[in-house]
Amino acid sequence: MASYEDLAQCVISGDRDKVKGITTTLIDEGKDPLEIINRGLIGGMAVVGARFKNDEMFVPEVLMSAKTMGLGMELVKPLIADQGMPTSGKVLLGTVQGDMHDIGKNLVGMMLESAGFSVIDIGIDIEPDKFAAAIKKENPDILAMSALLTTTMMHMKDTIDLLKEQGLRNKVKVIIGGAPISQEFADNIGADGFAPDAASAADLCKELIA
Amino acid sequence: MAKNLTAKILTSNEIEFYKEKIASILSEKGVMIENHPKGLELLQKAGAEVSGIWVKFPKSLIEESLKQVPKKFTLAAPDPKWDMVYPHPEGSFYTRTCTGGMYYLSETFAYHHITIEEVAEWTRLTDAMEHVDFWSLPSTKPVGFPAETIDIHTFDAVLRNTTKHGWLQPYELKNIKYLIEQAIAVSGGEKQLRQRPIVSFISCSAPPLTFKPMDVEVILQSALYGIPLQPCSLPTAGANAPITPQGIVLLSCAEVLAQVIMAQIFAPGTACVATPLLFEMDMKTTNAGQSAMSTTMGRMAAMQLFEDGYGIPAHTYGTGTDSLLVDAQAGIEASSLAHMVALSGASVLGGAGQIETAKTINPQQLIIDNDIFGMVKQLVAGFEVNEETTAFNEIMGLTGRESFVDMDHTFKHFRDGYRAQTFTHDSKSGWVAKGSKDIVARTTELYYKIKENYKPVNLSKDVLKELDSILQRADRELGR
Repeated sequence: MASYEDLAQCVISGDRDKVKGITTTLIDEGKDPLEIINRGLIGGMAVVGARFKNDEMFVPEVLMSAKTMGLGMELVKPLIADQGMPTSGKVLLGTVQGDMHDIGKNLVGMMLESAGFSVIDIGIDIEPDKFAAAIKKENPDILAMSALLTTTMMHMKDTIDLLKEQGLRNKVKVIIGGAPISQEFADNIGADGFAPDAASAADLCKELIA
Repeated sequence: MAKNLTAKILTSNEIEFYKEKIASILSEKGVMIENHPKGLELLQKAGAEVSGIWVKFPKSLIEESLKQVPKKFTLAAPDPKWDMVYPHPEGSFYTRTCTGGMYYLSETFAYHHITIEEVAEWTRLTDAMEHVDFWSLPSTKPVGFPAETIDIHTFDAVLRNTTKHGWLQPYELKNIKYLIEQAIAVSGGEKQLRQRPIVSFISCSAPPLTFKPMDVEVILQSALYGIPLQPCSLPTAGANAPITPQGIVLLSCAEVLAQVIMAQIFAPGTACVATPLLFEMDMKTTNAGQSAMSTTMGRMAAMQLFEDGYGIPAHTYGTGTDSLLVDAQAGIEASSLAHMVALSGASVLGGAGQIETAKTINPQQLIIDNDIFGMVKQLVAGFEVNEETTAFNEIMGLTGRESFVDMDHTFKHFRDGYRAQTFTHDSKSGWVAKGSKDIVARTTELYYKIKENYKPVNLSKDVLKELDSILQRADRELGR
């Protein structure tokens, strides 16, 4: 016998040892897979998100909870293929041309996944036409670009300009981040948003596609 | 109290533990060197085990390489009075300004990307600071010149305004040769630069355990031109390095030592100052910070490991703050760090004038940091206890309740201590009479006074012409 609350608690505490067992028990008991996700797994992450905002939980704990949720999701996913998995949205992520820095980008990716986004990370040193090609292929809700250097940040503008030229700009929201980036810069180059850190990037994405 | 005060965080057994583990990492795990066939070829010829981009340094090669590291060398300056002899002849330390800062918080607290004019002003102020021994390049906004030549233009602005040694970071592989040409122009020739290197280079790992082509090229070019190297590792605990200070020290020092070894393989005897600069990710905001106490402890361990364990001069942040302003947090973090890193035995304390975790530079903070360094130098020097310093004879000679203020002993020793220019020494009424100014307001006034007394740097017409020519050629050849 297991409950949705047990499963949610498992996610909150990041208990990777127990999550599979509880999820399996709920499935075996004939519980609705979408309920298992929404009330158990995502329900647990919702508590994690609230506690994170309240400074009661920290990034490593959020990521551990997300990993735990993922282990449960793997078991439930095959049961709901036809109904579609719940997702907060799809984000295409990359570091701009000439820039090899990826810590911030990777962190944004992890925090977005923890917040329920589907993330496609196309890596570092991404030229504008590669971003455009990936948007055409993946059809994301949001493009998130990262730059650490004052020498590379202008490639964010190059990318946005290219998206305009190719008629893609209105199909995707664009957010930017990185050490030299500011809200003023985001406004100047025509981005839809700027996140000062990885944790707030997830909130920004939720706001933009609400 | 002994002279040359220390506060050591590692036991001798722990130093040996680190040395053994670093040797294991470099010989058994190896490092990744990306897209530098020449570097890989030279390393392999010297006995490194190269497999694709992975390079392992056998323990015998590590030992042989470390024997080549010079124990004594000089980082020269355009004005020899600022030459830095390593080890410091008095057991003290040298200091430098922020490297790579992107923003300028002006004396009136305007905040913007650094302009080339501000680089020149920053350099003049640095030159005027008694306790700041050398400069490093800020990251300038490219206005009126191509973004591809930022480092070359910034270096040019510095060279025209400095009498001190510099620590130089190229931004692009192709730019390295122009930077060397600029240094040669001011030195008077390649031979002169080799004899009196007025710059040292920054090479840097990409943690964990990776080296990009530009940084391998920097090590190679440094070695070939006889330019000293201050190899860096800037990992962030919890992000691209272990969260524990003990762990980030292991990773960071392994990366720095790998660069020292590469430099010795490329050119035995290349002067090196090991430079692990550590950060820690804040687990709420995910920002990288420089001021956690755990990071200070890590820096102390890293300094001790290189200085005492390998006999290589070591360099890390000695001031700086995560605060966004020149405020109490900035003062607390900078002075706490300066004390502990200096006491750990570091040869170089970096980060003067930086706030916002090295992203921003500010003139008032530079002047305050100059004072912090002055105070800490006094502390580290320690003192001697004898009849003269204790004023034993003066005390024995007292006949009543004499004042000490007019004694010869006081006259002789009252300047022994450091008197911070930016701190108040006034009574309350005196302070009120002077306008009730806090440290920032006082330092702003001091800054304006310093500015009025800058001494111009006089490069010859021929040198200026050569610098102009290099700049124009770089813009033409590198600008897109």
